[in-house]
Amino acid sequence: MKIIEKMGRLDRRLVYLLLTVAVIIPLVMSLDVRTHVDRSTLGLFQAIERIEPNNKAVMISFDYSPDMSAELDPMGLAVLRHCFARNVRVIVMSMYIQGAALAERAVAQAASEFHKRPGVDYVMMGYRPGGAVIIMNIGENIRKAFPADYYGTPFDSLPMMKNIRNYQDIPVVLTLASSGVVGTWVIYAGTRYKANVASGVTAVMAPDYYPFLQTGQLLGQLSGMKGAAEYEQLLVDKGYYDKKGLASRSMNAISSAHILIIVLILIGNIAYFAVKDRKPKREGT
Amino acid sequence: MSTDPWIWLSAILTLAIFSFLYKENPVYRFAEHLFTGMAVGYMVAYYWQRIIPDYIIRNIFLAHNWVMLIPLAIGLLYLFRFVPKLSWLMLIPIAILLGVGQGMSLPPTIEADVIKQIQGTMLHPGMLNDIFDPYQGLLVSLLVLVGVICTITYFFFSREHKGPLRISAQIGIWFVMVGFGASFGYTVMARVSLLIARIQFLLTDWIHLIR
Repeated sequence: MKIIEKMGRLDRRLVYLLLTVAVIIPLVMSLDVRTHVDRSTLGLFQAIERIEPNNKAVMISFDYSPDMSAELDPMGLAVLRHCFARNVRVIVMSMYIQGAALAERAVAQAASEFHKRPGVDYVMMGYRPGGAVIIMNIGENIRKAFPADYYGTPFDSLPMMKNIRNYQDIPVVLTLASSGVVGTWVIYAGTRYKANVASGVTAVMAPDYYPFLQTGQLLGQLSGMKGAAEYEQLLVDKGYYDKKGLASRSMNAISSAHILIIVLILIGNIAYFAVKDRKPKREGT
Repeated sequence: MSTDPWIWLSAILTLAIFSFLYKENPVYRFAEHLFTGMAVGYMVAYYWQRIIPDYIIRNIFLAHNWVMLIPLAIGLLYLFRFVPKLSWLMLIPIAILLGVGQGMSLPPTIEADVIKQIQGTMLHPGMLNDIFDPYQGLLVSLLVLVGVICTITYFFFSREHKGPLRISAQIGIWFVMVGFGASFGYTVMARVSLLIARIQFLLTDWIHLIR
């Protein structure tokens, strides 16, 4: 019984240490385990599959700051690789100041892998302040929202943007978000301008947006690191990319950490009830 | 090990933040304040270098778009926050922003957050075709319908929870608990993901243990 009581009073630093070990071992062993693909991930993947190459463009908005890049960077990279592998054009933008730099890093990496040219195969629009106003401007005329790209190239000098006027020429709008900005995209781009909005969100936010998925207001959703791993799995399965990315390599570590947390929760509860039953009851209670 | 000084700086700052797990200490505090300061500094520099030249100098002065001076002037009223006697002037841009924001968002919000969600609660498997196959869709629709009705009855306080209302409310609390459980599970996954990303950085980019 004493052991159970001691387990119930585990030093939190020991818990952190156990968690670190539980994460490091699978990362070092780097086992290749297949990830089951959820329908919400498939919804986005199939929407991009339906786009005709070298014609209309996918819009990806990097709406997050570096503190959430661990979960959202792999998503952005996976979707960019999918688009570039299929020769689908991409418009990259951000509603967050720091998101622009993260977007630039991701698009530069994916573009170099697939030898894509700025202004022709993709356009980096960067950050524009205004939130909902920018989303509505894109719905009216994208030129109003982005008179020039991130590097100062005027809109009319971007060959890719020649036939892109508003959401009607953008079959998929993907927001990679760490905040309620998904709701803003759904409300203004989706509801008002009938754009096809999809989201890639942090795992914390994922349950909040499942209702939008169920009503069809979101055509797909990537949920946390697992969503990114699922997308990477689809890219490998379809032959668009030859190796899995950061998210897939993390899935074993996530699983082992989850098992450890479940075990700790069980131990904590057993210890709680064991100690509770042995405590003498106070008078009058 | 990496020879890149920026990787070393990142690794040292990561370890400085992790040192909080042992206990609060000055190294952690330094890294925390540095992060906050960098974020604010980046924002100020970005606005100064990119937004002000583009929105104010190019769009107004170079384009001779003088009517845009009116919203600029209204926006500048925010700065009266620093003049105690005239600080009431900043209420003008706040009022305009609130009014325009509410007016602009109300109709689409009602449609997106209320009407569409009510439609989604109704038995309409066709709405699920893109995500679920029809049979699963019907099952999920039924579950959603029962869940929503029971949960709403749990939050119905105008009558005492007795009889059918009590049963419905008790089923509702189970749905609420399942919702909380799902949220907590996802939160755990999110936090572990952040830890994994930093450890991957340390093991891959810094000490090259993983390739």
